[in-house]
Amino acid sequence: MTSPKPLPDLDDPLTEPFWSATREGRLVLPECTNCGYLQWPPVPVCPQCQHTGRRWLEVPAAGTLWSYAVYHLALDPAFADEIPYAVGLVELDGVGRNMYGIMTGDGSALKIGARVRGIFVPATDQVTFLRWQLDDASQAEGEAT
Amino acid sequence: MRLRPGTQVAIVGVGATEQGEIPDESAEEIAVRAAVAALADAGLDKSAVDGLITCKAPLTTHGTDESMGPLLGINPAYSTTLDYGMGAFSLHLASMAIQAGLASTILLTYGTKSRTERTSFSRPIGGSSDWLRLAGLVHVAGPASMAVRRHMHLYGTTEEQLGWVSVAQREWAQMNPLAVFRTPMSIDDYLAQPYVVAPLRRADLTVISDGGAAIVVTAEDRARDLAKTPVHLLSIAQQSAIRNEQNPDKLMRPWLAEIASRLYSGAGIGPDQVDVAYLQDGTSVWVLQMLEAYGFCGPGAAGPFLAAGNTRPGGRLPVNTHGGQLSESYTHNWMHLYEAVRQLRGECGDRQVPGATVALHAQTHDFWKGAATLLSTEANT
Repeated sequence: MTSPKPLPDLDDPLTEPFWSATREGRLVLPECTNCGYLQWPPVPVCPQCQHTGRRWLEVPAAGTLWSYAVYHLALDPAFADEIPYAVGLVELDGVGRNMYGIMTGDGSALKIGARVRGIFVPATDQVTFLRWQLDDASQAEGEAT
Repeated sequence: MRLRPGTQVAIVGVGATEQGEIPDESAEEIAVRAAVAALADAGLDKSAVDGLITCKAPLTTHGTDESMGPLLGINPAYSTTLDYGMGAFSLHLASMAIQAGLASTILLTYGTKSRTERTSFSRPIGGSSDWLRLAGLVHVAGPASMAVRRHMHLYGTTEEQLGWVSVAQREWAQMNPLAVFRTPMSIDDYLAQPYVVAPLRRADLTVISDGGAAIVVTAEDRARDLAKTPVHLLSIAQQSAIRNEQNPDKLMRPWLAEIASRLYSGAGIGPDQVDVAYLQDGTSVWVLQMLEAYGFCGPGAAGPFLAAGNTRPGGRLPVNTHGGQLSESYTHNWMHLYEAVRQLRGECGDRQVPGATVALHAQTHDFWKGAATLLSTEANT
């Protein structure tokens, strides 16, 4: 028996739009309505200009694997059922921002620099997590050439 | 910043308790025992103390100046608590307080019960904690393993090369009666350990222990008349990274080199003149990063530098000669400072580094900030 996985606070207005979008299979990031700075993770005040307004910009759930950690020990018991699992830091395409996320699989096939794409995994009726997997299309292409 | 004649400060006393498990005393009682030892080492009565800087161990409520005052029985002119329990940051604060004239003899205390109280370190490290927790990225081993895997990708660093951080420190620890882990560990023993968070193994991660440490810092004119050889602060430097966005710099910490640059220019010396280095080692990866940041080898070259045995007993740059957090104890860099002072005073017995006159003491507060000090028995002139 493992402890339940942590869930996001859907009542937090700062992050609720992110979770509304993942339910629809979309990745959105907050953008400052004053200076256009793209935030990740969301913060209540723009770190560039200290403005508080933001709008949500849809970006492709695709990127490059910058590095990753493979957990062989359940340091958080909530993830014991997934051991071994890998957490990646993904450089999102075209926006200059990086996002941590769980990678599908046991981590053995991962390589720094690999192309990855987001997949949207429902956890509850309300919460859909964004996880990441190797982009099979680009890998297959790589093998063919 | 260079400490100039007339405003220099020195460490004149150090004290420590046993390290490991101390189940029957509070963190404050442990800190008091270390403080009594440090005052005795300096040859000072507590009535001479006019400044107190205590440290609250991270993740606990222990050790504030208001909880230490009643046990130490003093009303110093200046007292404060540094929240995150770090040796170098407290030392710099003491230096500033003396230079500002707030106090002339400052006692710094630290005590922790993180082992017997089973403090959980399996929590997100370094900000944005709710997002990190959702991604299963808990414990410092997670981000540290990402950082070292990137280092391996960029520079060809191997797991065996990284292993020499822990193996060398275990060799030092075998000569340190205070060390918790003294069992011999070869590089093959290291490589045979299972992963905790690959590519990191148990031996790449800090010991969790109880223990106390204390130091006494005075203005230089007072230091000359005391019992032990004063250990002077040549220069101090810090850098924060508190903007803390989720970018690669957060893990690779290139800003550590800015501390090094200011530190060396302040003292007017370079890394070649450092005889021993104390690099805070919550993970072995931090040692790898700091060897490069502090100029002991080129960018990306820490792997071969370690594998060549430079940091081992008899090596060119002895590192963490007490065993560090990987083998001796987990006291947030306080025991690194204790050891640095005793090495410079020539008191380390079997593990004494012959002729050590300049020590580097460097640490980081996770991904938030770093601090470093150059220490020597020879004051700036």
